[in-house]
Amino acid sequence: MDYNELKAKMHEAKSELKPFERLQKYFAGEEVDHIPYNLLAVNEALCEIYGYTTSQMDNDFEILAEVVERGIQDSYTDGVGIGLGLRTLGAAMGTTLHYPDHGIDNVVKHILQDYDDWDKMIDPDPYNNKILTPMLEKAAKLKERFPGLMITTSVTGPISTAIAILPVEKVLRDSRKNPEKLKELIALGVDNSLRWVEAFTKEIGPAPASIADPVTCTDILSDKQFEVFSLPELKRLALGMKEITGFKPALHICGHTKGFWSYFKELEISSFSVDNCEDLAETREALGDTITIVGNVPPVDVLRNGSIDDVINSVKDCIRKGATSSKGYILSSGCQVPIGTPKENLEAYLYALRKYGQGAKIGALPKGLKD
Amino acid sequence: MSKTKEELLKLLSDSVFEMEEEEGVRELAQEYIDAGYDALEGITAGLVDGMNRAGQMYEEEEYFITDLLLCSDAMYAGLEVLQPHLPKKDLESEKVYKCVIGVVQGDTHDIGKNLVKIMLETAGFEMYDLGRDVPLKDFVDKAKEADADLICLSTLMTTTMPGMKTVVEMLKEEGMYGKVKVMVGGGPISQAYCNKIEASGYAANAVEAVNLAKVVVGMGIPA
Repeated sequence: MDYNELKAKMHEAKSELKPFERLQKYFAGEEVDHIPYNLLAVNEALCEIYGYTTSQMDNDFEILAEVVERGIQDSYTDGVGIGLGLRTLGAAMGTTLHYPDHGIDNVVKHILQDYDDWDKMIDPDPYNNKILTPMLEKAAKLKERFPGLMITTSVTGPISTAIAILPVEKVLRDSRKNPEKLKELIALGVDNSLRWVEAFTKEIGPAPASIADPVTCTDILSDKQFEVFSLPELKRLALGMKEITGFKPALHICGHTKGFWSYFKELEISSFSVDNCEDLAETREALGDTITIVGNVPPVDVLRNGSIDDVINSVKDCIRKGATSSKGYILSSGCQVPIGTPKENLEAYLYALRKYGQGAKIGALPKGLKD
Repeated sequence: MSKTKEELLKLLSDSVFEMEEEEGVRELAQEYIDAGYDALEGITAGLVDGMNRAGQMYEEEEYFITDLLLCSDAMYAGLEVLQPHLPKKDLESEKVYKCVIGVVQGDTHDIGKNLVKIMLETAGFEMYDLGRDVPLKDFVDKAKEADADLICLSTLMTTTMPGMKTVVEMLKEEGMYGKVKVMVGGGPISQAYCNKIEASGYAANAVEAVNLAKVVVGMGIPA
């Protein structure tokens, strides 16, 4: 279908409930207007769609507020997150980042090149840090601007945080050559992530938070590395977040994770958002009776580079594979929505989930797919 | 009693495969040279054999990235000792396939690129590593200067993917497209994207990249 057809058909597929209401009813076992959904870390993509660069959004509160407001109006998002991105805590501890005018930050130089640099690390006190404190202030301003809006935070998983402090190849080598010091570094990252969540919750209010942990995948870690270095700290992080916020956090991991799925049952997490490189039906079979399954429309090949029909077909496919999860299913992108994703494809996403996800009930295929 | 050549080759191979400490590998390589054995054979039947065994284990999911890194540390330690003893004629005796590799401009994620570089080097390619955050024109300039057979482009970010297409287009403009093959890889890259930008090939991991590289440049195929 072309964009004109999609525009015409959008009128047939509408939402009736507010996002929060939909989630509450869905998880209470009631039938809702359509399947609950989200789009992972969509703000950067939205910022481009609305005509701004990421640096404009990062540096001008009014632009951020506009992106948030329009994103909600257009139903692409239901709140705003001010969280620790993959490299934020590293930066707060002294790692130098490059922030492109329009794009995602990257590491210029890690604060640790080896453990002799340990004392060079900066204390990431949320109330007194050049990276974290302005973020906390930004969240407070958003709260003031949008009373009642869900303002959430996020952290990065233990090993993912460690590689923003010490280069990844050294982290991996040290898992053999200097395991005890590496454990100390990973634990420090988790302690500081929890400090952030604590300050955020105190200042902004308790809300469900999330964890993104792209390094905890079998593309990078062996089972043994996962068990020794990642799992114990991931457990501690999730439990700590639950104790601080009152909500179990959501977990997203990029890359292959099938080999670790059985361990995820031991984590105090509410949901697992699976990358599109894994099969959603298999994820549901493995974990659907324990936690909510979230995913996994391919962000690059479908959302960014695909056609309207590709998006519609992928949404249908995901709902078919995920919806019967007994602990619930939330449609989402398999990873962050890329900058450059066309508005047409986000509209197609909404159209498809409203049409084919219509009449959703936890644990069952929605009516929209049965018709 | 001193060790035979075969015993030492096996020890060199094992030292890489079993990720021995670098100092130990250097001593072993020195012992091999001191015994008067052929340096090239020490590399191919010793160190590189060990790295190839590691690659095989990686393919079988018995070895992981960390293992490949530690094996390559051992291999390079041994190479440091053996390489200076290579007679010049061995270097010139047959066609050397040359490859320019780097992470495209705007991106600094380079562990994947580094692994591909190690594995291609192991497979016998002469590598020109431009590093990370590489200006796109540098790939073309270096390929021209080195008379390269292959350019390998890597990125983990969607925002820098279009740079790969630009490199392909630059090669077309320079009349180098086709003669110089282009391989692409990295998290967001797929065969579909490779086809779209008309690159020569896409590989999902470092070991696959080696097999593909050999095919696209025609390595081992009689001229």
